[in-house]
Order: sequence, then structure tokens, then C-alpha cells
Amino acid sequence: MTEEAPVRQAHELPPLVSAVEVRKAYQFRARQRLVAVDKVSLTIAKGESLGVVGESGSGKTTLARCLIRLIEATSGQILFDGTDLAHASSAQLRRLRRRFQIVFQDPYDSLNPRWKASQTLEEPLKLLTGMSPTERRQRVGELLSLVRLDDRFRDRYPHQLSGGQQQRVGIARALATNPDLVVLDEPTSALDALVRIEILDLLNALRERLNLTYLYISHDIESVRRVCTRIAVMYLGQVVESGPAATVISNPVHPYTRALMSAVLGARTEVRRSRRRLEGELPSPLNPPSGCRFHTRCPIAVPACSQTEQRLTEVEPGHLVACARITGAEEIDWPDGWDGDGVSGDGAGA
Amino acid sequence: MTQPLLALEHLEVRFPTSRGESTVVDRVDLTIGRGEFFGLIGETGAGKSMTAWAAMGLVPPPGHISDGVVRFEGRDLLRAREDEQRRLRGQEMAVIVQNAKAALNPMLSIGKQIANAYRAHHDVTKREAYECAVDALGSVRMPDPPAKAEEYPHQLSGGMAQRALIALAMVNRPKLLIADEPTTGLDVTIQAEILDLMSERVASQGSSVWIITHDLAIVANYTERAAVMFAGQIIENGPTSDLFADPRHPYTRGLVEALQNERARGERLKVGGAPPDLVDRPSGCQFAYRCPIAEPQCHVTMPELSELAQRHYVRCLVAERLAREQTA
Amino acid sequence: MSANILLEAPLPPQAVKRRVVAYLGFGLLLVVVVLAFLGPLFATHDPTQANALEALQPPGARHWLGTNSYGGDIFSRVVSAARLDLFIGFASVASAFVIAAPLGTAVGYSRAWWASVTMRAMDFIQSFPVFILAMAIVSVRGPGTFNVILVIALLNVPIFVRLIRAEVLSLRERAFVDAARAVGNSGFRLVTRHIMPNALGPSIAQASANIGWALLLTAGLSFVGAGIRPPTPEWGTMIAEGAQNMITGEWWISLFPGLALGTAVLGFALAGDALRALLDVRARTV
Repeated sequence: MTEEAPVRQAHELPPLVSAVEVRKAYQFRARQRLVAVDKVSLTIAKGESLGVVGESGSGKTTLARCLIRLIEATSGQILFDGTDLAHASSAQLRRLRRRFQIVFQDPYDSLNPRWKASQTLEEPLKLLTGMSPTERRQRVGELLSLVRLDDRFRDRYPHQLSGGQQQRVGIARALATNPDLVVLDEPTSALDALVRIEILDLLNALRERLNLTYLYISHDIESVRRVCTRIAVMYLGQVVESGPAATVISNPVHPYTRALMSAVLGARTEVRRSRRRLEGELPSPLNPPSGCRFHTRCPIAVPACSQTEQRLTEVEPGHLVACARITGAEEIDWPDGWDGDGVSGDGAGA
Repeated sequence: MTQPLLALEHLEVRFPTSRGESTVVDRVDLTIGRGEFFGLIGETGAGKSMTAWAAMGLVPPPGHISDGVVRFEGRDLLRAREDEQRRLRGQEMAVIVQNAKAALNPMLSIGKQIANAYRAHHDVTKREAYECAVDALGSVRMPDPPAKAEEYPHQLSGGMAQRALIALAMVNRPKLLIADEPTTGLDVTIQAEILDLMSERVASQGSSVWIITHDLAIVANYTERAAVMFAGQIIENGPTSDLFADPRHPYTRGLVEALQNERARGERLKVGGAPPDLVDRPSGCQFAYRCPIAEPQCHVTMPELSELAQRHYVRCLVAERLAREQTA
Repeated sequence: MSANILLEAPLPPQAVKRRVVAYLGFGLLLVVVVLAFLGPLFATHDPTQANALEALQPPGARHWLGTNSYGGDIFSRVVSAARLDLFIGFASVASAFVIAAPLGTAVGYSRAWWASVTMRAMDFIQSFPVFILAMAIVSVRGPGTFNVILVIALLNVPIFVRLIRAEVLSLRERAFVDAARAVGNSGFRLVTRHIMPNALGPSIAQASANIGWALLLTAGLSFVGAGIRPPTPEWGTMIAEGAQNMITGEWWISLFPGLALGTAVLGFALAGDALRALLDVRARTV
């Protein structure tokens, strides 16, 4: 058995989270507007693990925070198990909070430096559940063992923990109230390679054991491959491709995804990929290109691309791509190396 | 065999702490050849960065080099005169670090900084130096070099700043480029660009690159030879392909297996754990406390680096025993 | 740098230095505090009593530190003044702190318009030369202990507000604040249980140094007659009393209160740094 997360058919399960045309714009002075998330719609089914990948300026972190209402979306609907979070009252939000939690990127930064691990873990229990002190203490013990930490870590301060241990505490905190959804914001990017893999294995095990749903944000495709069942690729605030993780990673369709996946380093020494290079620089999110935002760097762009906005269209069941040229009927003249299956078989694929 | 470009012999770096002396680099032997792309792998705290800084004679006080020799092209670097050391550092060896923006001077445009670096070692006019700087930026594939040369570090993105730093490092055509976690925190596509750039430099200019990282995939894809460090010691050293195809040390094996994901989790060697104590070092093998295949002998005798295959060195008693049994 | 190095306690030479400095600071303070509390018990004479016959005596058996121009015993007066000065120092800085802590936190955390307005008010207070402002207030309200405390507290508030605000500004961007919000903390809880405890650390060390400064200011005000009025013993007034006598050779009248003042101020300054190190959670080891 490999470490791949098992794929479940999306249509069998009701969506736990449903984002409809979510938009987040920041307004600066002098008509400078930054649209971090531009009318993104996606669903997360219960029990699945959705990876949202993208590079700087893609808007993936902003999207994640909007989805659990850590920040307010400018417009759009965010449905969590039927309730619209964007328009919920604070009382409703309070009740719902225990059902979705978040794990942060920098393990040390996400812990109160003056609090022991036990205090950090007890806080969500105090605020969001009605447990008694004894019950809470016991739950803390359970949580520590869930994340494979010895009980003596209860009384440790963050500076007394290694990076991996700190992140385990962060994960334990997210699991304290038995949530349905866990948002993971680049949870391993601050960790060493070995610790990273341990944490990813832990996340997989926890998802199975506790029947969790993950929203996994990352720019590390390799970790997404290990943890996610489905993937959505973002570029400058929009989703350009989404589908089953294994498919999109090994056979990317959208030109940006092709370039992205070809840059992922394989685990073997013998295989040399030809990398698909992107021209130009990443445009400023303050001044995004017209029409298809990717057209300034796209190897198959034509003049029409700068005029029409792209919409996500299905190319095969469950696999959507936002590129009219590809989803249209026409023949595409791919430059050398861009056509065919993406990352060559080097152990990175299934 | 031709003389290596850089040779570290028995290098030892210590830091005083309230509990005693911490041996951060423990008798490290390392060689890097000309035009070679060499990787040094290790987890945080393994001592890999400190090894590089020691190789340049730049250990920050109160740390100090307590033993060992550093030979650059055969010359004793640490015992050379101060001005000779500075020349070697600026001209023959260059460093790039993780946070490029922080490593650049925030008060000068990048063009000026590179020009200054050039003028420090070449007798040219300011104008000529600036032109060299613009050329250098072009050679690292910076878009619109003349315009970018006028920008300040804070105006650049992370990837651009790293390119600028590489240009700065390479403008004097050093024989050795030391890259300390150069792509941590950068986007995947940018990382690939930067690494390809460094790789190309090795090929085109004949420079050597010494990359320090905890990311095995980088080492697997770009280096020809690599060494693994743990608790300040080199525990395995050999051609990269050998290291990945046939890792002998259990720590290396654990890392490679985890990366390649071939075995199921239950079968993989578990090599993770608490960082070692560099002050109160245990006797015997420093990895033994965490080692899944440690034998009683391992806690008593310190293994030495021995050549178990062609140019493939391993510091492990169990690996030595297995090698003997195989040949027997 | 190796992470292990960062987790280790401070390096020997610096650690030793820090410890000596700390002991010195606390030691000096101890002397002063003991003097303040127990001193009056050992006072040989009534501090406020005058005795013309014994005026201008040099240090000797009857008057350990000599007498001043109207026969007051210097020793008893120095010791008695310690109480008053320390009381003023603590009271003024403590009141300033109590006001500044919530104010500084609120101003740092809020992005509303009133935050800027408050900071401009702080600028306003701080833009006056300290002494001028103190004297202006005292001239309106009159001299005396309470008004001195009021003035010094007022002058200290902007200092603490700024310090605390700076800490809060950086703290509010930290992930653990986001995390606290995610686990259900209300704004109030967030500020009081997460932000404030982490923000106050540096200010406490500053507070100690500021007590020393408060002592100097009190002495200065009293020296010019705008603070504590004689015959109440206070180090500043005592130094003033002996100022002219320096020329005529009666050095002991100003010197001893001056020494006492200097010791106290130095003690507070040194202790402040040690206090900050003590409060730092990272000092706690496994």
C-alpha cells in the first residue's frame, strides 16, 4: 500500500463546504485595488482532502481564511454544512466554530510563548465546549497521544519544543473540539524534510481515524500529493484547474499547471525532466492582465486570450480547466516539451 | 587524483555555552572537486551551515575553530594573512544565503552593490564596473537588467533578490559558490529557475557549487556528490546516485526511503527523533540513541568514516559489518 | 546557526556579567529599601527638629553624618527621606503604568481614528521639556507630595504607552493571535489574555529605570523649591540646603543625600535589566 490518500467519488458525498463566487478585494488609497480572490467557487465534500496550490500572489491563503471566516470575504457565499458563514450572526458563528479549525504555517509563531502546551490545548475546550476541568484535562491527554506526543509535553513551553513538536501541538489544538473540517495553511513548510514527512504521515492517519475533511493549502506539490485526494490550482486569485490530485499532478492540462508540475523535483537521481519554463514575471496583483490572467506568460496564448475571462470547464468527469483553447475543439500547437504527460514517471506519480 | 578545490581536514568548531562547550562541527573531513556540484544534507542543527562558515574562516564569535585545516587549492586558508583571506573570500569563494533580501545592502541599488563588489577586486572605473554589474544581472536571467540594476533590494521579489545575490556572488567569477539553503521559502517554479541557474554556472564557468540543504530532492536532482551530516559529523559521503540507490547509513536510508515513498510506512526505517545533545555527547555512535538498527557495540565504540564502496564513505559499525559479510 | 545554540542558556562571559550586574542592582536596592523601612527606627534624632546649637557639625559621634545649617541631623534626615522618595518613585511610576497598560494596549490593537489622536496627545505631553512642564503644573497646583506624584505620573504615561503600543503592534500580527481568534476568543479575551501579558514585559524593565528617573526628577523639583517643601526631609531639598555650604567647606550636608540618591537611581537602573531577564519565559528550562 502506498501513502496515497484513497480517492472517493465526489458525487457520493454531500459537500461540507461550498464556496460560491467568493471574492476578496483590498482597497488601498488612490484607486488601488488588490483582488486577492476573484470569484472563486469550489466545494469540499465530507471526508475528502482538497489541496489548494499556488505560488505567491495566488490568493490561496486568503481564500482559506475567508472560508472559515477568519477574514471577511468582500462578496460571495460561503456555505458550511448549509449555513452561510458570510452572513451568519456571531452567535451562529460561535456555535459553528468548534466544527472547523485551522493549523498554521509557522509552528512557533502560532503558539502563545507564555503558555504551556496544556493551556494552549485547553483553551478551545474552555471556550467552545462545556467540558468540566477534569474532562478537559483528560482530553488534553487524549490529544497529545493522538499526535504522538508523550504526556510530559503537557507542561512544556513552545521554546522547549522542536519545530515538529510545536506543530504537533498546533494540530492537537485544531483537533481539540472534534471538528469536521481542518484547514491546514502550509503546515510543513517551516519544517525539515524528515519532520515534514512524519507530520504528513500523521495528518493522513488522523484523517482516516477521525474521519476529517481537510483543506490543505500549500505551494509544495509533493506534500499535496501525499495528503490530498483532490487539488485546485490557483493563479492570481483564480482557480485554473481542479480535479483528482493524482491526475492533475501527473497529467496537468492547463499550461500553468504544466509548468508548475514540471518544476517539482522528483525523488530519483536518474531521471531528468525537461522543465517547462514560464516567460516573464508574475504580474502584480494590483494590476492583473485582462482576460485570461495567465496570458502574458502562456506558451499557447493568442490575442483572443487577453479579451475573454476564462471559466472552469469540465474536460473529463471531476476534472475542470479554465482555458477556452484547451476545452474548445481546436488543435493546439504545443511548444516542445509542453505536450504529452507532464512530470515523467520518477516515483512522483502513483 | 587531482588536487581538490576545497579540502576540510578534521575541522572542528566549538561554542561555549552555560553547560559547557558545544561541539557544533566534529572533526569533519570533506573535499569538493573542481567544477563539482556538491550537496551537504542535514537536519536543522546538524552543523552544516557552520561547516561552510568555518570553511571560509568566518565562524561568529564566541564560536571558534578549535581544530582542523581548511585548504583552498592546497593553500592553508585559516593560517593565511588577513588580506589574503579576504581576497580568497571575495574572489575565489562566494556565498549566497537563504534570505536574499536581508543579505543585500538595503541602502544601495543592486547595480551599485554588484559594481562595488567587482571594483573591490578589479582595477576599473565606476562606469565599467556598473556595466559589468548589468551584465552580471543579465547572466542570471534577470528581466530587463538595466532597469533592475537601479532598483533597491526591497523592491525586488524573493526570487529576484536571490538572482541578484547570485549575480553579486558570481561577478568576480569565484571558483566556489557556497549556497546555504538558497531556495527555502521560494516558489516551486522560482526554485527550479535558481537551481538550474546554479547548475548551468557549474557547467559553463567551471565553478564548483556547494549547496547546503535539508531538502533531499534538491540534492537528488542537482548534485554529483553529497554528504550527510548528523550531530556535527559526516556520516555518509559519496556519489549522489550511490547515496540514493544504495544508502548504507541507517539515517540516510531513513531519509531516502521517506522521500521516495516506495516502502509502506510500516516497513520504513524510523529515523526521526529529538535533536542530539552537542554538549554532553554520548559515547560511541552519535546516532545510536535514535537508530532503529543499533547494536550494543554502537553505544560504545565511535565508528570512523570508512570506504565501503567506490568513493562511498560511511560512518556506521553495522554498515561496515554488513559490507564485510557481503564480500565474504 | 544551530537551533540548539539558540536554545541554550546565555554564554558564560555574558551570563556572568549579567549576573554580577543583577546582583549589584538588587543589592543596592536592598540597601536603599532597608534604609527606607528600618532606617527611621535607628534614627538618632527627630528628622524635622532644628537645633541651632548643633548647627553645621561635621560627621562625628553624636551626629553620624553631621548636621545642617539649622542643626538637623543629616543621618536621620537621609534615612527618613528615603521613605518619602521611594514612595513617590513607586507611586508615580505605578500609577502611570496602571493607566498606560490598558491605554497602550488599546491604542496598539485598534486601527480606529482615536488611536492616532491619543498618540498625538502623547506626543504633545512629551514635546515639553520635562522640567518646564513639571514646574508649570506645580505652579498651578502648588507644591507637595501628591502633586509631585501627579506630575511624574503624567510624564511617564506617554513613555509606557509608546513602549506597550510598539509591542502590541508587532504582537497583533503574530499567528498565535489568529489562532486564538480561531478557537473562539472574543476581542476582549484576545487582548487581555494573549496580547497584554506578552506586551508588558519590556515595559516592566523600563519601569524600574523610570523609578530611578522619578527620584531624580523629584529631587530636581525639590531642589528648586517646586517639589517637596522643607523641613520635610527629601533628598533633593537636602542637597539644595547644602548647596551653598559646599563653598564654605561643609561638604557633608549635600554629599550624603546625594550619595543616597545616586545609589538608589543606580540600583533601579541595574535591577531593571535583571528584572526583564527574569520575566522572560524563555529563561525557564526543562
